[in-house]
Amino acid sequence: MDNSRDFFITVYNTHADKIYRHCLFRIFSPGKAEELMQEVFLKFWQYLEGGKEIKNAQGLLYRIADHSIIDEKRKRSAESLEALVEEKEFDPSSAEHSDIETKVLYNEAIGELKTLREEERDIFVLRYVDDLDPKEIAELRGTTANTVSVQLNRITAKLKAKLI
Amino acid sequence: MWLGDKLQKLKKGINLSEERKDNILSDMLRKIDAGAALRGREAERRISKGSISIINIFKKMPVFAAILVAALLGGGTSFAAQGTLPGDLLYPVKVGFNERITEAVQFTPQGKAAVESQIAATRLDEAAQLASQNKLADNWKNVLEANFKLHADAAQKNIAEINSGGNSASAVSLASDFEASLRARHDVINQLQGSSTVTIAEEINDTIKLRHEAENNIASNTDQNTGDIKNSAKEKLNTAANVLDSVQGYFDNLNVATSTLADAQNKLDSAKDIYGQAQAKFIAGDYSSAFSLAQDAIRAAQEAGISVNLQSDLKLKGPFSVTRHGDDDEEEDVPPVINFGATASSTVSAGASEDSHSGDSNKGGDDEKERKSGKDILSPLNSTSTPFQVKVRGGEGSDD
Repeated sequence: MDNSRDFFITVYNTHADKIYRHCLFRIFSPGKAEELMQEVFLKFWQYLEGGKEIKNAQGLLYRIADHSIIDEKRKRSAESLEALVEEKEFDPSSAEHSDIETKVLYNEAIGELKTLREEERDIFVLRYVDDLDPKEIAELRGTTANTVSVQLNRITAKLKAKLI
Repeated sequence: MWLGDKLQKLKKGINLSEERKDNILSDMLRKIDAGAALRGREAERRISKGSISIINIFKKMPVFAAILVAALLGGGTSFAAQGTLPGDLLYPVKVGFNERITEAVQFTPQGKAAVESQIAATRLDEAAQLASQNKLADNWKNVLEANFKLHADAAQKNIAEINSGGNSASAVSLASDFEASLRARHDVINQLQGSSTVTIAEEINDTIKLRHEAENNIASNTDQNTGDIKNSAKEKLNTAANVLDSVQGYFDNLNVATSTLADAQNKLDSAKDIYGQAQAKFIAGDYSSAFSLAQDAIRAAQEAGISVNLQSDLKLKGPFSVTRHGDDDEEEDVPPVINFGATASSTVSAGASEDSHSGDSNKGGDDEKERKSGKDILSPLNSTSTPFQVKVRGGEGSDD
């Protein structure tokens, strides 16, 4: 238990911000992203506690996050705290990140991400928010690196075309 | 700037604060520990069953020999001792070695409070188990009661220190968890023996007072730390939602007769109502009340879960039983009598709980009316309430 606990704490300290950002840019709600991040790590703990071998903690976290986000989107129609308080604007709890420039940039990015289809958006976030390379994304998605590269090129072309 | 560059730039500036991350980690570790405690009890039962033959072999050995055997055999014996009850050969190893070690490796007041709370609850569980087997002799009653009080007092001392140290939110969570744990066990033992247990009732009331002190601290500091209390309230609401979901999920999977679940579902529904009130307070900007109400919802759900967990452990039958499908052919057990340090004259009356919610009067006003709103979840201890209020099972302390 102690070894597992230490490992869990290390993994959390290493990946908490990444998983939070991943969730934030997939569901666009800071409060819900925080909730999902916690849910992801608790599921990770259950996996760890089950005695299963974990070769790639980051990969497992993203896979768990994907499932949690899909579940969350399914539940979206249900009334939630976030819906009630209407967290439309980016208002991270950490004051150090609440400067105007970041808020504006965030809102622009969210607006553009929403123009993508859901599947495109997910891959794009994995590449440009999570910094995963096509091979890592392919492993998560159960496809080939080549397929991911082609998809990313199409998305990039689509987004850049809008700038012209 | 195209979207890829925007995201690259943004991600450097979007992080949770270190304090926020620490709070989330602490919350998760508490849930993990609570889950481990529950699973530990399951493991204890399995080990206990599997160890009967070994225990029988050494049953005639004196206690000091048992400890010597434990020392020689090392961790395995220590592990096996976890499932023992007073009177078993390895019980001294459990209390004198395992629990001491567990206490010794806690370096924070939070950890100490959690461990002492758990050990106090274990003493009550042992009393209930012995009673259910008609083995609760007078000498063990006295020993268990004294040991229960020792650890309960230690838990409360640590909670008081946490509160006075400025971490009132943590103190509220710990006191509330302990209160739910004690209330559930009090109810089960009370129903089993037909009268109340003064020591448990006193400890519950002391814990309630501690919780109220911590809640009052939070309320009085609200003006100075609006951002903090907002985050705390939000976190507490999220935790409450998770606890309510967990208990509801357990209900859904319990596979028991509908009639058995009815009261339990009522209790959980009441907890959900309180959660709704907490949400409303949060939206209205009354974060202190939202925090307290969310904690009330958590405690009510926890209490429901622990009560049924205990009934299930003890395989109680009767009007307040948990009936699992497939248990029909089991022998009818006679409800055991537990006279755990109580006498006829020591029955806790409504008046004796003067306090279970005396602190509530400090809050006063509409908030409290809403919190109580006729729901027995938040009612003070009252041994005269005969119907068993909780008949469902859930996880203990999944909260914070």
